[in-house]
Amino acid sequence: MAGINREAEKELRVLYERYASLVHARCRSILRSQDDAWDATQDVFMKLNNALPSIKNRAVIYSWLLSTSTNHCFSLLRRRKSVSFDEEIHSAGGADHVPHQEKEVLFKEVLRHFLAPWDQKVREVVMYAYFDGYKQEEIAEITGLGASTIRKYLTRFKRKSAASGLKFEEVRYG
Amino acid sequence: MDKPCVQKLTVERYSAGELAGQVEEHLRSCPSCSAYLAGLKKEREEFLRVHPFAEFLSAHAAPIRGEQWYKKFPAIFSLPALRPVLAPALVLLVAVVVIPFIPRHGNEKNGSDIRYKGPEALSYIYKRDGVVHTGAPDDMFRSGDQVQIFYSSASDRSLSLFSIDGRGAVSFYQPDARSAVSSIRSGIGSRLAFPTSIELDSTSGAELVVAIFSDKTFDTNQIKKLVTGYNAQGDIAALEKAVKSDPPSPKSSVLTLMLKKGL
Repeated sequence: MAGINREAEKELRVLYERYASLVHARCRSILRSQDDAWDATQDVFMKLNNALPSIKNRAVIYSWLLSTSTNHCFSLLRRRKSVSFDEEIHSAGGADHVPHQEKEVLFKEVLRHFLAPWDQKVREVVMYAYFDGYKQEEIAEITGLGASTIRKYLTRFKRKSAASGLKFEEVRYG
Repeated sequence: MDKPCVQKLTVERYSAGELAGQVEEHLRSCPSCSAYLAGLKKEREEFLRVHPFAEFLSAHAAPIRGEQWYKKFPAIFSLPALRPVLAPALVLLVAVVVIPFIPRHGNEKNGSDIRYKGPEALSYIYKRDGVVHTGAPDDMFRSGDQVQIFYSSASDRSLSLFSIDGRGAVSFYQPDARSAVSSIRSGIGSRLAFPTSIELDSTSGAELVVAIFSDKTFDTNQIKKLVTGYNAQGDIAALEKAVKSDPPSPKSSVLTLMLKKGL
């Protein structure tokens, strides 16, 4: 029994060392806080630890981590209710202030708030498309959704957002 | 961080050790993708320097290394240090579970939770000089011994318990000694205690204890008449044989105990 646990721990170590920084970057981009991102990364890897026995195809681990970390972070945001703008935004008025970056960060912040009430799958697709810059075929690979469904989700979201004054042509990849 | 020219996901997967060899050629010739890959590698190194796996493991060692609590449970029994505690605990657990199902020796014979389906039977314990003994086939009794009769009954019937001594005298044991009715309701159950006990006197010879389970009640005179009718001529063994082979009614069953008296 102890041997089985050692094997599981060894596998988790390998996965952590491969993917933890990617998960952390994703969590940080949503939560806008290093500490919160670290907490969320740990939560996601604990979820992975529990789910590992049921993930037969190890090739989908990264997709699983992307999806789980995205949804976990949005879940944290919902629980938190109000999100504080992080130092990245408030430091925008400093000497090395770059208007384009400020604009991008602010846009993402607005987008993040705007996304919160959306359906989980739509939110995920929007995140991959507009926050992460994944192409539609990559999003299909991550989510397992068909190309037409992804297009439908993005179109629906863009239409609603446009009505609120958001312009997606200005989105920059993070 | 630089944007890759090929699929972002592909570069990320490559950086994580997936897709080995498949994108290397492109990375060698594409500055943007190789720069993005370099950024990811740098970010990983920095992250693992700040948050190594050991830090994560130290915060979550129990759930990662340990089994679920219910999987650990059987292993507890193999811990040598706990054996002295576990053995009495196991005995106590068994006692707590089993004791409620052991028939009680009190007068709770009519309890609705008792469902005895075996045949009628008699057994006894006896008290001599303040010490209680369990009944055995070769018991020799003496004057002053107190005998407590137990019976088992599959249905709630009338039960008459009496004894006949070597002289042919009949003694009755109904709870109300002044009552002419010798029968009580048997109730249903195994090893039910008869409400009263038998105190043996100094009469020599064996004492035959008779229990009649029947659909009808008997009074003391009917029993005496019955005993006389067997015409055993003072032979207690013959009387036992007669009373068992010729019950007082077709729906009666008769059980006997022969209590032998010694010096």
